[in-house]
Amino acid sequence: MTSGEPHASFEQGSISQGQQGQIRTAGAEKRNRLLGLPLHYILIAPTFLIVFGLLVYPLGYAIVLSFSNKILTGSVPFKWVGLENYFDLLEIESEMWTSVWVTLRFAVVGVLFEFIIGLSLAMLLNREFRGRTWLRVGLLVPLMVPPLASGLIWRMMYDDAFGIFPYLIRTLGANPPIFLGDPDYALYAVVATEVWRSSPFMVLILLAALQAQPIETIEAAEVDGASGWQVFRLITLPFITPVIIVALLFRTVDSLRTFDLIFLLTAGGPGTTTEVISMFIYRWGFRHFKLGFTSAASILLMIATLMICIFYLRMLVVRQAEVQLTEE
Amino acid sequence: MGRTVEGRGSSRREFLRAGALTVAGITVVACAPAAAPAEEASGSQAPAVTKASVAANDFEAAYEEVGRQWEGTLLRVPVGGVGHWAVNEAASARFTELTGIETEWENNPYDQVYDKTFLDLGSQSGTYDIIDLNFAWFGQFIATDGLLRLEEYVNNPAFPPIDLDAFVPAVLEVYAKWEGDLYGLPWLGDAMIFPYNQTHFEAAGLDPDAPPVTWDEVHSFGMELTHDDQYGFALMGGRQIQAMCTYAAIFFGLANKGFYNDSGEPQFASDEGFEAMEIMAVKLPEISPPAAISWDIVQAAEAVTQGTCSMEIQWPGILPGLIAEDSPVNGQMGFAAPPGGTPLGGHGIAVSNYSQNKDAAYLLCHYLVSPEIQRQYVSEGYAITLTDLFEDPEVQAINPYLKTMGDAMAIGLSWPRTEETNEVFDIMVKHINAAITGEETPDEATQLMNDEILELRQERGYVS
Repeated sequence: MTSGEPHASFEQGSISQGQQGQIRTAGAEKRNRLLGLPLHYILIAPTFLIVFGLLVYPLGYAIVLSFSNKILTGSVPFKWVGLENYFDLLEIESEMWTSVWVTLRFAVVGVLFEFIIGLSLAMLLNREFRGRTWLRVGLLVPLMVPPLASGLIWRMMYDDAFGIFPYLIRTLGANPPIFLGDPDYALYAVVATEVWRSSPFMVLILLAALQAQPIETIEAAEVDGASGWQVFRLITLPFITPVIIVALLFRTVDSLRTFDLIFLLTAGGPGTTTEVISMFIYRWGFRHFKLGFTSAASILLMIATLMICIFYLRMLVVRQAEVQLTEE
Repeated sequence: MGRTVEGRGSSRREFLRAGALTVAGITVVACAPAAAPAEEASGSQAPAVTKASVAANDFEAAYEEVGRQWEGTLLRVPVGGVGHWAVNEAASARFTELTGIETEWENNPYDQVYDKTFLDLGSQSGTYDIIDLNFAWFGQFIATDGLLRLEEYVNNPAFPPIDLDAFVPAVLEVYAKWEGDLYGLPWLGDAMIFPYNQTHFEAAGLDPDAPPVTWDEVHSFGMELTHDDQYGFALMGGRQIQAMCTYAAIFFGLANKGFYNDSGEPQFASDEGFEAMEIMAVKLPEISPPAAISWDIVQAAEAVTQGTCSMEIQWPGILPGLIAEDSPVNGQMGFAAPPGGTPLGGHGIAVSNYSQNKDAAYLLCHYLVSPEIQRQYVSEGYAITLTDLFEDPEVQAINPYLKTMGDAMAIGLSWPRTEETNEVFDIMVKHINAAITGEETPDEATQLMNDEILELRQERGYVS
């Protein structure tokens, strides 16, 4: 049956069929209504409400608040301040820049190590060897530990009196630093915990990409005399690059938002050496209750995160365009 | 053969309509406010008790008689998870047996008690019925209009009588009253004290009965006591509220004046303020374990309990470990008031203005500040708020540092109670920790701290 047949039959004056169709359509329309509304509206309503309630409304409210001086404590009368909160945050002496710098170091160093460790382990697990399954399961453990628990465990491991790290360093005859109390070490101690916690995510994603790679290509290259490094650089790496970009995107965005781990390990200290932007927002939001100010900071964080997303996605598009060009 | 249903089954429309109505019904029920107690208004008459009495004495009978009318009511109380809270839970369990009023004690890290309570009062949600009223938070809570005025409850003959004159007068003023109105009942007295290890003192050639009376002596004694893995002092130097408390104790001891002058300006950029920071950030770390720069209250108290450190300035609620029978330092400790002065801590207990169960909540507050329950707090290391109990030999025998707490409370200076106090604490914590860890010099930290507090108070209109 072609798509033209019903139309043709209608034109030919097949009234009874047309009437039946109209009656059927009217009946369906009637049936597909609930409380006077079309059924499809009713069906998408819960999803719409959830998305609106959890995403659109809070975001809109935060944007509106960011133009006000809203403070939860009562002594300051509410007033609209326009872009004042944004100017305060962006001025050169703002404390936010310290937090931005800490956040960037935390994210860049952390994600870089996660990527290196993740890729290395993924390549290892992509090979056949005895105990591979157990190693895979073992590597997933950090991912399954709740952030709260991992924060507390690592806090104990860093403890100068009872922790395993200071103990091992002392055993080697050296004097351990106060990992979470020394401004020179605290951020990197937190980064190490984050790397431990998040590298398995990188492993999972990259391993999936490696396993999707057609074995024939590698075999053909090997037959042509390519070395292992050449195979990796010229075949494997280009193949998994889009996945790497997506994995880096996820981890970078996650790192920029990290709060729980730092809150548990150092609460932003010593001084402000581990006060990432989320901790900064928390401190001004939940210690000073300056909702207008912290909403503005949150909006700036969101814009920065979006820009990073766009950067990664742009890389992805460029990469795909290159692949397409190569194929042509 | 079973009954056959004839005709059509439920149509899709009916099915969906039924589903929608069910969801709507569930939503309405879920969102409906909790049922109010039968007799919400204060001054209600106590109904006849229908159950057999479980009261062991007249004191318990009084609460049983009044409280039975709210049987089944659930009271929620947010508290910190350490110290005397176990007494509260145990006392409340007995209260539940007597009255049938259930209680839920929500244990939180102490910092979060403030956050959660403030957000609850600010949002007027009424999640919590009873409020732990650390008096430093008074101004913020008042600003939310979240505290119930208690005069009419106190004067209401339907409740067991309460004698406000029995409380330590200064404590009643600070813990429970705001601009002359009663918003709470004095619950737990508190002031930092100075425990020191007399055995360590003796071994170092110091007089065990002569604790340091100045902060310079604390430092010089500490140098005598510090050797090998043994340290003179347990500093709470991490980025947390106790660092501020320690600095305040030193500042109060040196300056004998509060945070602000008569014009409302902070007084830290003064000789005493700079010196206090120097002691806090330079001298005390010299006689404390290196890790103390990240310590909170628990680590410091534990270091003294284990005998690693010889002195500390500490809140009494965490000190029972020092006098426990199995404590490594049992029998070795002496207790003194801190050199020169100390911060007065302490808590009132109040009823949320947004509680659905105000009457029952007031009854529990009333019960927890009664002399019978206050005796139990003493056993957990807390001070009390009733004058007569301080003089009671039986009570004094329970706790060897009760008298010291009384002495400390006598010289204690109170925190400011204005609405921005927690923000001031946050600024102080940040700079004190920065000075201790070398991020800022002591002078820089003091000046920055003073300037930021001044700016905040000017912004809020507290500086004339």
